[in-house]
Amino acid sequence: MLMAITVDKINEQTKNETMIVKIISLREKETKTERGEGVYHYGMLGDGSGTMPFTAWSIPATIRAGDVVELKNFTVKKYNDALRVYIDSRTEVVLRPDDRLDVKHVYKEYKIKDLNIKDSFVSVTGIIKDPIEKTYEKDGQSKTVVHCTLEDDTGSIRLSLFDRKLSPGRYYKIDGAKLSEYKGRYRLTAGDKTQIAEVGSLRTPDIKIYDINELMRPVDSINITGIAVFLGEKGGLISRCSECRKTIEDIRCPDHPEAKIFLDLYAYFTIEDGTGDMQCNVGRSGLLELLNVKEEDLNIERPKVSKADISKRLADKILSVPLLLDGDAVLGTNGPLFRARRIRRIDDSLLKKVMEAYEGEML
Amino acid sequence: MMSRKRESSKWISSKELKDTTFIEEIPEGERGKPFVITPLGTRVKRLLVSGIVTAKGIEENYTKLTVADSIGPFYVTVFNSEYQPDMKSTADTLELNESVTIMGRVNTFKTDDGVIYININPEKIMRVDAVMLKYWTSRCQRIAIRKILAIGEMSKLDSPDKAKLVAMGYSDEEADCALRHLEHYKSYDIQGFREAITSASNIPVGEAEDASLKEEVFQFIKTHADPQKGCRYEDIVAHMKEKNADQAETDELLNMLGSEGEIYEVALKRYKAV
Repeated sequence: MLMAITVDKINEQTKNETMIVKIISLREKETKTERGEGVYHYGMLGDGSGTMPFTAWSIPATIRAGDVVELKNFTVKKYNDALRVYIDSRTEVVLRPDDRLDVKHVYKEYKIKDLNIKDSFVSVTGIIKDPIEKTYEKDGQSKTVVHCTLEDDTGSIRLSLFDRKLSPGRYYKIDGAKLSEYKGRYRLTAGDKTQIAEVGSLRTPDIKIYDINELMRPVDSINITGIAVFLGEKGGLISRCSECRKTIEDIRCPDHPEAKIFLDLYAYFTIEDGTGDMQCNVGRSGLLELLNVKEEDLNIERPKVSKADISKRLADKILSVPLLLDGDAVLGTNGPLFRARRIRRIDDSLLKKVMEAYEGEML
Repeated sequence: MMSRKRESSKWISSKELKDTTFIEEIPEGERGKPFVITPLGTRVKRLLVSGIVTAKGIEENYTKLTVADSIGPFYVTVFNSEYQPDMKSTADTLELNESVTIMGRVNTFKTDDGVIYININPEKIMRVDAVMLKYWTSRCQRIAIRKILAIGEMSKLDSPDKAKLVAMGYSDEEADCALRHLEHYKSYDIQGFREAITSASNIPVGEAEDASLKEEVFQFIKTHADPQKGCRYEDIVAHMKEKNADQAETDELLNMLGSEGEIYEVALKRYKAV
């Protein structure tokens, strides 16, 4: 009887073992080096105990995704903090056409702040908020997709559910969701293979304060604190084209001269918290509250505020005072960027809340 | 030409700056002022400090300020400069006892017998209120305490290893600071530093000296600590909430027990009774 090792027993010391696995996915990649051009394959393999990524420098051309194979003389190494099976010219790859193998999918559990695009199928637990249902046509059939927010104690992420509905305000474990990046933000997609189970409640604090140097990857619905040390001069009261929404320097948009112009509020600044600095921007809704401006004050026919007035209010409210920002950390073209939805000046009562949110690391 | 990332300011207490004894060499071919390495391993060229103006001396070409945080003074020199024509006039109009936040570059002077004096040349002077001082102090303390914990963890390793510290949850910067501390300040009195910055706290923490609550924390740690990993901070806070002590009070009790030598931190946010 063949003694084969299972995926869950594999570690970096595994040598001279045999395993019988299903090739779950198989992708090809071309390489160009000084020695010439070449091709290698990579993908996922698995068995009844779990799954693992693999790289095949050499693999028989007949092997396809879905095949069950016997592997001998493979090696195991860590890559990107995860174990990976390596198949090369010394590895014996024997196709077992008559075998069937059920694969147990095991996904690493993440807190939302720790999600990393390097791991594209993940398990995340959190509360469902703000669902918006949309219908679409596929193969002549009407289908539904629900876009919502999944929030845990470290932040939130946009989640798209295809042909499924979850109850807002309840907690779920989303197992095997696909993680992707779009416009600098992470999002999760739950497809038909994603397992979803309702779980008990979790604590999701109102304020989730991060040090700026922690924010290397996108995470939504978080807070940062700090002092603005630079306020961009091009922010303030601006005019926009209603068609393309670009900022207008002149009286009309050069691309849409017939389109209406409207007044808008926008600010960008650099904030520091002692651990680093970060570029921040904030739009209309965040600035209305901060600058004590009403929507009707921005009526372009009869504006009740001037550029100079808004610039002065911005400098007074943003510079030289401690700030608490609510918003999303995103990946900008020049590195991490904070999109603030709300800006509050830290006063005594807010300082107490901020200190409590430091989770006891503060003295 | 490659653009260089702006050097963000470090927020450190006057004691951390005052106890600094190491100046980095400027690499050959480079210009500008050198970085200093503080006792906590912070690599500083630009600082942001907050405090009260306690002294002011106005000369024709420069103004000297002394700005005190809750531990001691920062020394600030503001020169007449064509690049920042308003800086000196702003400094000149500051009143004694006025609260300010100053962002600036460190300027070092070393005497023949090796004593280092550091002052700050401001790039920005901001008049601020008492909340700003409290906020800045609390941030400085938090940043310093995390660095002290990182130094403690690094010291326990057989050989310094940044990756191991990062794996424990410390930031790259905190791990780098721990490495620099061990390289340049191995004999520095870290415990004394910690006591100085915590006892000088100007953050109101209320009347936390409740002996029964302190005993409650101590007994909980004693009876609930894992032999290897110690007692989780979150568990202590949750337990003390049941005893009507909020998180800030629990923190204070933990600090008191720590400074009295009753408990110690096995790892970040894990405690054991001595």
